[in-house]
Amino acid sequence: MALALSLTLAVGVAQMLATVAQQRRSMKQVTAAHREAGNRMEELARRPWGETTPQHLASLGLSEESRQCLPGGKLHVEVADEDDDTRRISIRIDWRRPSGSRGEPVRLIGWKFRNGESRP
Amino acid sequence: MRARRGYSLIETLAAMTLVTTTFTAVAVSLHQMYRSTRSVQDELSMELELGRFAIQFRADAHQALSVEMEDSVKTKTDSQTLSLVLPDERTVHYVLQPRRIDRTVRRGAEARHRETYRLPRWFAPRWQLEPERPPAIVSLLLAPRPAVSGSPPVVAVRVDAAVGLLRSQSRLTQE
Repeated sequence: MALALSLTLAVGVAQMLATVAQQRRSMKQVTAAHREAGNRMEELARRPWGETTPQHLASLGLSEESRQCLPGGKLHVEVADEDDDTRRISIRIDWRRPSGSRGEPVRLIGWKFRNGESRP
Repeated sequence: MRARRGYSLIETLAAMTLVTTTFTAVAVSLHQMYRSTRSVQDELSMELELGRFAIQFRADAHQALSVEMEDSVKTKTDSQTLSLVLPDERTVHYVLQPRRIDRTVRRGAEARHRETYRLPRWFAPRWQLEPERPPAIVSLLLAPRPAVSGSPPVVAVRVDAAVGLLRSQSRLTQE
């Protein structure tokens, strides 16, 4: 009886520690994805207006640092012209979670304004 | 038949082994949980500090007219200074120290404001400047130090900021 109780306790504690470790990994990944989205947005903000078209951004990928901690990580950049001088840039990062599923992605949206750059 | 008045040696030893095993398991679990809590607190603290740094660093960089980097070889100290010149004659100096980043705002020679961002001991910080084309990107790189005992498994961290973004023709708002 005592042995069974001890074993149950040990298994329960081990499961709890495993869950905590998984949650920590998951939290680290979400933080890394937010940081990566911020860095990518800085890079896009720096580009001239003419280099923020979907064709130019198709080759954009995750940084080496993010590839290391986001298994199966993918960067999606969507560009939509709201009018002639305003462009909406959406960054989406998704990756495989420690549980194996692809959960809710991290998103960051920014607007870029032409502000005097020459029109084509 | 005589009534039994005690326990045999085998029974006593078995009970003692069980009690010892249970106490050991509980002690190990508590120790793991304590370490885990400390580690989570350290990581959370680092993320908050880095988030605070990133907001201020990007705000300074976006306003900056120019950027200069002074390395430890020139200054012969164990620090690396990044200076951002702002439009209203202010200069913001970010100085990397082994365990922290010091931010000092100066107007002329007079220091107007100073704050510090703590860094975990398992990171080696350095600046990186990519001036290929304006506006330049300036980055804080935190590379894991090779042999720091007790450090959690970490990967490199990078915080980028575009210099002079608010002065350039293209600008950006974020939500």
